[in-house]
Amino acid sequence: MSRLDDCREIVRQLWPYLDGALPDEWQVRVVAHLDACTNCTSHFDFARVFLEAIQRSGAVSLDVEPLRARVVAALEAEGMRAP
Amino acid sequence: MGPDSHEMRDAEFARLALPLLPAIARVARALTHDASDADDLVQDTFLKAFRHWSTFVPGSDCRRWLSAICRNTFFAQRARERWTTAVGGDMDLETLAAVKLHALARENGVEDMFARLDLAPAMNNAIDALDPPFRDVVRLVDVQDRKYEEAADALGIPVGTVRSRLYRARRQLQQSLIRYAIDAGFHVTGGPAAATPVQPFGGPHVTT
Repeated sequence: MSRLDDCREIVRQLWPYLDGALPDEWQVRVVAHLDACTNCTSHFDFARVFLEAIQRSGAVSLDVEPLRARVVAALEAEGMRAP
Repeated sequence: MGPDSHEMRDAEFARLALPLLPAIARVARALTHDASDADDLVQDTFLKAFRHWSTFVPGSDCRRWLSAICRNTFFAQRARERWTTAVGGDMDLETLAAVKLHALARENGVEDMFARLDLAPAMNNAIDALDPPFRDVVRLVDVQDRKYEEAADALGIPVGTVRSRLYRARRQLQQSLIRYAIDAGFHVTGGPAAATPVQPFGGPHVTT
């Protein structure tokens, strides 16, 4: 397989790799390739910081205590005894 | 159902279902994208679960059961909306598109845009602009850090569908944000674009 074909195979695994969804065999292969290929590494880095930016954009704390009190009150009105 | 069985039901519900409220709240938030709607959906979910607790199979996955109720309730409420968006497509092409979009960003001097700029408002706008089936998987997987299988479970769709929707949604988000960064003049002159052109396998550049 040529270097170009190898790069193409590796970038096909870009999203599954970054999502931690690759089988072990592919995980090892991608890591080994990235160790040696700066061009592919730059693609993966760009995608990784993009995913981090998505996560930052939605980083809102979810305080569920008021919601829990509201749900329990609704359940008690439905007949459930207080937990 | 006698007083004792009522008591047992209430105790079981409090022990098995109520602790899962935060998890169901996250599913509801991902589905509705609105805090108030999400709270209503969580309340409806738990009321339905309580009313139908007798159908819960002891020993089975309560979180999955509640997620299904949450999802079905949400879909029923939004039955008038179209949920048949075509989501076919080649996942290989989507990942290769990610490489070409990287090349486009670099050529326009915005390669480091995600690290350098506060894109949260633009990102939220771009996510909101996605079709609902695509937005849902982004919210679950990328914002809430859920695994493909968990998102599939929450949405009631196959894992393969989660993947295809997710990859396409990411491409659309990257296109939107790169276009936004270029139009807003966020490029870095004399940056890496001029020094080391990226090689997207020699293919044509993505037109945004």
